[in-house]
This record gives sequence, structure tokens and C-alpha cells, in this order.
Amino acid sequence: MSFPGPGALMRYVKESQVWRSLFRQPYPTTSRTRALAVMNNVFLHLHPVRVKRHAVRYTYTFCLGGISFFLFLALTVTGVYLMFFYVPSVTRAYQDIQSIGTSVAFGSLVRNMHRWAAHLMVLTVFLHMMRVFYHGAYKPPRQFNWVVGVVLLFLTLMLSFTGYLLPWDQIAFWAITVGTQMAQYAPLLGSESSFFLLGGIEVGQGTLIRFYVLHVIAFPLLAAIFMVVHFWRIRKDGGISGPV
Amino acid sequence: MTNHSSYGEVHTKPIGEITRRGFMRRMLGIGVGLLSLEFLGGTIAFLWPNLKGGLGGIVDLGTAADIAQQQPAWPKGEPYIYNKARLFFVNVPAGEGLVDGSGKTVADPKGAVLALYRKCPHLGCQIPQLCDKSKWFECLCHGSKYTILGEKRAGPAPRGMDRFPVTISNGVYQVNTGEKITGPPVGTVTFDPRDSASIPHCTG
Repeated sequence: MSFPGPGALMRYVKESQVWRSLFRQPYPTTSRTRALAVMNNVFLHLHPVRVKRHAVRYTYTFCLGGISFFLFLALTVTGVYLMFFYVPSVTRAYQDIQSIGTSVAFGSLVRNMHRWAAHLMVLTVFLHMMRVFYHGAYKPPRQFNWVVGVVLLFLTLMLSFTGYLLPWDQIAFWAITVGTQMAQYAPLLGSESSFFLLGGIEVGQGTLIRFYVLHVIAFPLLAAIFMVVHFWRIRKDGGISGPV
Repeated sequence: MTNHSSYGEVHTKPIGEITRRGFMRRMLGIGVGLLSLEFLGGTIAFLWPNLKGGLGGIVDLGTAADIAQQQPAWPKGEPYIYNKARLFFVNVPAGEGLVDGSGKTVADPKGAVLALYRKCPHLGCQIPQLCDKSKWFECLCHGSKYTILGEKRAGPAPRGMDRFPVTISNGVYQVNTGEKITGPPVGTVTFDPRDSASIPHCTG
């Protein structure tokens, strides 16, 4: 009895129905097939097949938008990890955060990655906005994308604000108390909006669960949708703006 | 109907009329709009905070006997803490006995009660249970001190502790925590005029 060699095995795998249903075209080797590979892939198709030479020059954009997106992905992954060990209850939240740092394997690492990525994301989003502003990259035809970007800045800040309450320590409690008191100064619906945000008339269990739900699903989902539009518009508005 | 050189006959709609297609589109738009508004309104109603039994709503504390079951020292003047609504519920005649040392027991004060808000009127810290040494409420944060009636005696607070109106129906005490009454001004003395410096304290 003889076993098939590696070449024969590879041939067998590549000729199988599963392989051929996953990879319909052979490895792209020409410009045309490479372009098709990008266009036919759901994950790649948001990005243009070709970009201008200046667009990949690091010192022009400093990749600030890309870094922000990377941090968003890192935050999503580490955030989901943390969700396994955190219960948004006023009696448990503080202890859960402590035990993530002390009794969960790599817990401290994951929590600090989440924390630092969050701080950094606010910073890179802000720097990205400055870069776009000083390059005048918000000018026509990119005005709409600037507006989408402003929405994304708002969502980033809201994600940061809602996440701030979750450790349920003194600084969290008082920061949210002050923050929601600011909402009371909004015209017309000031006290109502504060009441709605807090889920009561002071920071408590109602506030914690509201902020948790907003933090783990509502705002990330909205941000993801706006990011898709943001990236798509870059391409539709003629790629990254060039030096004037 | 007009004749256009390149398109041939063009159908234009008469002024003031709407095409079938336009009508359908408008109705669809209005329908989707109404549905979205309804969904938004429903969402807000669903998520609108329900304050029943908590701070901001009407709180049922039960009868004097119910309260004594929760806090056995209540007929002896020790305030009953109902923390779901951040309350000190004070039995006033028994409290007076606790302060002057007569040790009076009042099972049901029949309305001579006080629902004090635990939030310190200074900067909002939660005031701990009555201090055993001074029989005063003493805030841990900045040392504001109040009598058992919530009248300010010492510390940085601008006034006495805020309170809520209490009603009795069939012997059941109900506190309306949605209607805050601002605490009495500094200098109000109903009883317990002791000087802060002459008595021992729990906080500095």
C-alpha cells in the first residue's frame, strides 16, 4: 500500500468540490484578474482596485484614518473579550473589573488594550480631522464625507463617554453625573433628555444598563455603518485628496 | 402633449394633477414616514424610565408596623433607611426622645414623620446613618452636620437636608419623591439646639 505524495494530495484538495466552490478563479496574475479579484470580494470591494501614487505616501495622511479604523477593530475584539467577564449591575460591575485585572488570564492585558486603544482612538480621530482640515480635503466634492466624519467623531466621543461609566468607580460615577447635568442645560428638552439618559433622576442601575447597551451595541453598530459610508465616499469622491 | 425635437412626443402632467405613479410614491413615502415616527415614539415610550417605587416616584413605605419590621429601632427613634429612594424616614417624636436621652418609644407617630433626602445639599454625597455619638447626620465628604430633623448645625452646606412630602392613606406612609422640598435655612432650630463644639462626633 502506498501513500500519495504531497503534490498528489494538494492536487486532490484543489480538485475537490469544496475548494473549487470557495476559489472559483485561479490565483490572479494579470492586471485584469487582480482587479476582478478585488471587485468580486465583499471585504475588498469597498477599497479601490488602484490608488494614486501620492495616496500611499505615509507623510501625507500619516494613515490617521486607517489607524483609527484599526483601533476600532481592536476595541471591538477586546471589548467582546471583556463582555465575557463583566456584568453591568451596580452590585457586580466594580468587582468584575477588579477580577478581570486579578483573576482572569491575560485579563489585565485585554482591559488595558481596550482602555489605551480607546484613548488613542479619540486622539487619532481628532488628528485625522485636523489633517483633513489643514489639507482642505473637506472641500467639494468631499463636503458630504466631511459631514459623515463629523458624525463619526461624535460617535467616537459617545463611545468613550458611555464606556467611562462601566467600571462603576468614583471617577466614573461623578463624570457621568456631571456629564448628564450638562444635558439639563439643553434648550426645550434639557431635563427630559437628562432623565431619559439616566433612566431616572440620578446615576444608578438604570443608567449603567443604558450606557452598557449603548456602548456595546448601539454606538458600535452606528459607527460601523457610518464607517462603511465614509470609506465608500472616499472612493466615490475621487480617492484621497492630492497635494494642491 | 408637446413635441420635442429629439424625444418625440412627451407626456407632461397637467398643472394641479398628480400622476398615478407620483401618487403611489407619495403615499408610500408618507406611510413609511408615519411608520418610522410610530416606531420612534414606541421606542422612546418603551425606554422611558419607570420610577415606580424608586427615587422620583411615589414610594410606598407600608404602615408603621411594616417599617418597624424592617428597622426594629424605628419606634425608638433610629431613622429607617429606604435606599431604593435614598430616604431617611424619621419617626419625629421618637427621634426627639433619642436625642434628649429620654428613650421614648413611639410605635406609630401618626403623621409626625419626616422623609429626608440622603443627598447632602452641599455637594451631593450620600449621608450615612445617624451618628451614634452625636445623634446627628454627619456627611463623610466635607463634614456637614444635621440634626435628626435635617436642620444644619455645622459644616459647609448652604441649608438643611432636602425632604419630600409624606401622605398617609389607611395607615400606609407614602412619600412623593418627585416633589423635593428645599431644606430649611441655616439657623432653623425646632429642637436639639446643642452646640457642635460641645459634643462628640463621628466625623471631623
